[in-house]
Amino acid sequence: MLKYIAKRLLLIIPVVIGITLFIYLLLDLAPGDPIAIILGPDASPEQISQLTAELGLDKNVFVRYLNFMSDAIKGDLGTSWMTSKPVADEFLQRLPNTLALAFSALAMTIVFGLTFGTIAAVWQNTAIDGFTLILALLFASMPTFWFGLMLQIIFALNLGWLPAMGVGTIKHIILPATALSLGTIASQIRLTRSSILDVINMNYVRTARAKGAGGFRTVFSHVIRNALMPVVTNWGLTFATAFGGTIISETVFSIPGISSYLINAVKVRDIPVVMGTVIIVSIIVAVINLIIDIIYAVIDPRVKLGYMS
Amino acid sequence: MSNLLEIKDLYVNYNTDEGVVHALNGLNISVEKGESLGLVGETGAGKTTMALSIMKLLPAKVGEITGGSLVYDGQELLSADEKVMKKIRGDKISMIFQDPMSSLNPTKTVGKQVREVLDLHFKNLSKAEKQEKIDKMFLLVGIPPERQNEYPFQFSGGMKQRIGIAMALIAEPELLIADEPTTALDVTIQAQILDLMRNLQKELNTSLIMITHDLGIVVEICTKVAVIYSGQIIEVGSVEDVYQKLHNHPYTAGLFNCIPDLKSDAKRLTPIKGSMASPDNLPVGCKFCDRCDFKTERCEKEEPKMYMNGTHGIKCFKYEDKWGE
Repeated sequence: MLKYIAKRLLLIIPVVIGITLFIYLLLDLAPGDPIAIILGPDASPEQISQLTAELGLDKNVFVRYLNFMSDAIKGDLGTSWMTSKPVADEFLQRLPNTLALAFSALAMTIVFGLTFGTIAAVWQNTAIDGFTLILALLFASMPTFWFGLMLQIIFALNLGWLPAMGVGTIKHIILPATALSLGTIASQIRLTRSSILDVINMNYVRTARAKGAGGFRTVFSHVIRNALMPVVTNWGLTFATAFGGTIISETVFSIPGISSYLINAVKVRDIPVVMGTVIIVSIIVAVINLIIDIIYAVIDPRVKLGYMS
Repeated sequence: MSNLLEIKDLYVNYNTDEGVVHALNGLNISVEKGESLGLVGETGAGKTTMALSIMKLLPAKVGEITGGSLVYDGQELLSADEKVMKKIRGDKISMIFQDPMSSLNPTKTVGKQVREVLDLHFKNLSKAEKQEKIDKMFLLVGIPPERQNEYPFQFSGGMKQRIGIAMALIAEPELLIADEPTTALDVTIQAQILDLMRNLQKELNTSLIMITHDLGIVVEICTKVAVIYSGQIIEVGSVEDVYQKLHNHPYTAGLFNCIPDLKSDAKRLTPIKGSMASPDNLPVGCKFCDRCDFKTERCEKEEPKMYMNGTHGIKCFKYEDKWGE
C-alpha cells in the first residue's frame, strides 16, 4: 500500500510538468503584451527594452520556462510583475479562503448527494423519488452566479441570517459553498441513485434478504458500500469542478481567494502569479485524487489486494 | 406424517412493461417433515418463482401473488407481514441460490456473511459460541476455517457454492430450498456438492426442496418428485412411482426420452416438439396440449385435474377413468 502511494506521489511530478509547460506556452502564444500593460501607452522604447530585459522576456520561451521551474523547485515562485510582491506570500494568504470554499462544497456534495440519492433509490418511483429528481434537475439547471445572488437576497438581505460577502467565520462560507455545490449535488444525487438501484437488484442483496435481514439492514450493510464505488470515483472530479467553480463564488461573494487572484493575473499577463498558482492548484487536485483512490481501496477489497500484490 | 409446507392453488403474476406474465397458475404441492422433494421442470416453468414465493422474496412491485395459500408449519405465510417473514427467512426456511458467483456480497468477508445469519437469528449466543459454530460449519462444507477472513473473489465457484450452503445451513433450518445449486458448477464439483447436501440433510433432518432440470440429480438425493410445467405441477409421486415409467404424464415421458439410454437401440434422442406455452398467453385447457401426441379436442377446452393412484398423481385426461381424483 505504501509503495503504491509513493508511486502515485511520484506520478504527480510529470502531471505538474505537463500542466505548467502547457500553460506557459499558452500564455506566450496568447495575444497581449505584459510590457505594454505594465508601462502603459506612453512608454519610451528605452523603457520597454529595459523592462523586457529585466523580466527576461528577451529570452526563448523554453529557456524562460526552465529558469522559472528551477526557481520554483527551490521554493521561489518569484514576484508579481504588477505589484512587485512575492507570489508565494499573497498566494498563501488567499489559499485558505478558496480551500475552505472548495472543501465545504465537496463535503456538502457528498453529504446531500449521498443522502438524497439513497432516499430516492430506496423509494424508487414514489413521490419522494420524483420530488428529489425534480429538485436535482432544478439544481443542475440554475446558474451558480444567479443562485448566489438569490441566496444573498433571501438569507442576507431579507432574513439577515448570514453575511452576504467577505470572509472570516464559518457563517461566511455557508452561502458561497451552497451556491458552488448546487450543480455537483445534483449530479451526485443522480449518480448515487442509479448506482444504488443497480446494486439493489443484485443477487447478493436477495441473499441477504433470504438470510432474514430487514430492508434497513440490507441497505446499510450490503447495498451502500457496493454502490459507493462509482460514486467515490466521481468525488475527485467533483473536487476539481468545485475548485474551478470557486471563481464565480469568489466574485459574487467578494471572497479574496486564489481563483480571483489567478483570473486577474491572466488578464494582465502577470506570468509569475499565473504559474505559481497553477503549479500549486494542480498539486492540490492531484493529491486529492490520490486520497480518493485510497478511499476507493478501503471500500473495495479487490482494489486493495490489487495494490498490495 | 404432517406437512411442513403446503402450497395450495398458488397464482403468481409478473407485471412487466410488456404485459402480465402468468408464472404460477394454480400450483399445488406439499412437503413433509424430513422429506426431500425434487422439483423438475424446464427453464421458465416457474421453479424459481415458486421458491421465491415461499420466502416471499419475489421482486418488489413486479412479482405479485394473486391467489392461493401457502401454509408453513400451520401458519399462513401469504397474510404474514414482513416482521414475521424476517424471522422465518434464514432461520426456519433458508435458500441456496443458483448462481454462486453473484450470490455473495463482494465487499464482505465470507466469514462475516455466514455470521450474519447468527447475528440475525441467534442473538443470545456469545461471540465465541458463534465463532465455534462458524468454524464447525466451514469444516462441514469442506472449507478451511482460516479462510473465513477472505473475500468471495478469492474463492472458486464450487467453494463459493459451499459458502452459500454453509450460510443456508448454519441456522439448521427446517426447510432448505436449493435452487439449482449445481447448475453453475462442473461435474466433479456437482457430485461433491450433492453428496454434501445429502449428508447434511440426513444429519440435520432438514426438509429439502431440490429445484433442478436434471432428472438424474433427483434420483440421487430425493424421495419425492414433482414435475412443474407452465406454473403447475403436472405429475407428482415418489421417486419409484415416477421413475418406473409405467405411468407418466406425456411431458414427463418426453423428458425421459431426452435422456440417452445405453440399453436402447435408438440412434437419436427424441426431443419434445415445440416449446413451452408463452406465459403471457396461456392456453385455456391443458397447458401442454400444443406439444402433446395424445391431444384430444377436450384437452384444448378443459383443464385436466390431478388424478391420483396412491401417492402418484398425474394431471392428464388419460388417467381420468383409470385413477381417482
